[in-house]
Amino acid sequence: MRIIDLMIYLLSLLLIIILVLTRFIPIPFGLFTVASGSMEPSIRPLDLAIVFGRDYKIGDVVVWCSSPFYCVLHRVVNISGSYIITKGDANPVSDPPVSKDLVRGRVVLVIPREIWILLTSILIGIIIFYYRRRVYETAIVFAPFIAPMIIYLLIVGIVITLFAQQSTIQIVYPEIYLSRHDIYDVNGSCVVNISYYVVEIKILSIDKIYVFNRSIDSFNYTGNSISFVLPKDLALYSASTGSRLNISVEADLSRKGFLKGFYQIPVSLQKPLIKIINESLYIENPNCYPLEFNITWMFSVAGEPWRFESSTYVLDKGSFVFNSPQARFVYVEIRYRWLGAEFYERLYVRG
Amino acid sequence: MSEDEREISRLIYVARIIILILIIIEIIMIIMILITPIRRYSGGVEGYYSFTGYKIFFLEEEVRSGVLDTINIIMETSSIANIIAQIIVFIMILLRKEPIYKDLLLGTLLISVIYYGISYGSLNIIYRELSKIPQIYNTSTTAGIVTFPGYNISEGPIMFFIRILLFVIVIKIAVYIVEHIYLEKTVRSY
Repeated sequence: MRIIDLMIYLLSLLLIIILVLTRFIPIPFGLFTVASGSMEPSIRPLDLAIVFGRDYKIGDVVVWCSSPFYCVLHRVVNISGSYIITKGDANPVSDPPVSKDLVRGRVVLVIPREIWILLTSILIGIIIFYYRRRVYETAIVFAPFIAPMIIYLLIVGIVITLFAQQSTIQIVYPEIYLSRHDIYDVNGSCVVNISYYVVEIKILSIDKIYVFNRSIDSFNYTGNSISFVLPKDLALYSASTGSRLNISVEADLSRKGFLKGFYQIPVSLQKPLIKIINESLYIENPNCYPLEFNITWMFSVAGEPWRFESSTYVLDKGSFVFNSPQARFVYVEIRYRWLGAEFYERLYVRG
Repeated sequence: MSEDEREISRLIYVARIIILILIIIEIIMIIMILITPIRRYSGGVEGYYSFTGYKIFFLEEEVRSGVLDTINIIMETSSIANIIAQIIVFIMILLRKEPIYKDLLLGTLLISVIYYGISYGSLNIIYRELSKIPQIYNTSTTAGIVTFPGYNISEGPIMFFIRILLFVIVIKIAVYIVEHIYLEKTVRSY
């Protein structure tokens, strides 16, 4: 055997060991061809990566293999305990954590596809030329029935090499959560606002909104919020009893979803201001909730018995002045319900 | 030509007719494997997957997968290459190109075996990939109860076609062996 034959055999043997055996034996050395564009632009498909050594840190490109036939060449973005997290430069999300045991090694050199394919082709060409007589004799015998299969396998192999992608189905499950609910004042009316935190979903339409089993017909909504004006009688009921607003919502969501929500919104009120100014009763309701006041005037002209005049008023937000009766002696009694409790005040007006 | 020789020639003729029919069946099966929807989804997940393409919507969101795209390209290429090879053999038999036809038929038989392996393996990969489409469940969150429609899967008759393909390949191999090993040896012995 000539020395050149020996060299070719040894080279072939070495290549087989590197390409095949390193896939199965977990040694920190190997050659890997890049199959996808997940590391573009730094590493492109069909580039040849040389892996050597297990000494790596965050930022290095490593190869990890979950099986001899499935290896990933990505950049290390996090190392935690016995796990590492890798990510393709062109991928929007990281890979799931993988055990350090699966890491085959650090990529120390990337040979661009234009160079290694050209060199390999030249090398194969030289070998074929060197053994041209033997190749010809073999081809004559086997070509007719082997050739179709080889052409077929070549076509399939080239297609796999050029188009193989490893990205699998990644589905973001739609989610919707209650973000906040509040009641705020808009021109003296209570407006209820319910906001949602949404992921890959939005509100398409509102089917029903109920407040204390009362249907609300007029409302506004966006993709992630609902708002409506609280009817005055319900606002009054809620303010006087202190009951939380029981709101139920049925809404059609995008992505064929349907939401049925039930929320209890606590009522937050300021106490009304009641005082006598210039012998008149002054009541200020600072809330968007109306409040019901029962006002009883007690007055007397000198020498006559006390007289009583009683009236009930529902006062919206704002300041209200009630003039006292024309009499020598005047008192006023105000009763109102506020957050479930009854309040009573008797004020001296005149005399 | 003796009576026995005529009988054997007639058998060879019949064998070639059988192979022609089997080639036609094989081509039809390849086309059916290629175009038949492997899976159909209805409900929350809608769409279909076949080796020629797929359109799957998970709750109205289109599902894309590099693996599915790759399998489509591989299957389309390998099917078309296989069909072309089968057609070439078919023409060679019709034109009675004896020495080329024999070797080409053996070559396409090997291709058919490989194609069966590719299609069966691809089908397993497809099933594994499609199983990553999650189940749709109703959730209860702070927003309330969120319901989504479930979905139904109906399997296409792809396995039926693959089994027929395997059956056809086995018969083709058997006919090839009988024709080329037994009958031709017998002819030569006369």
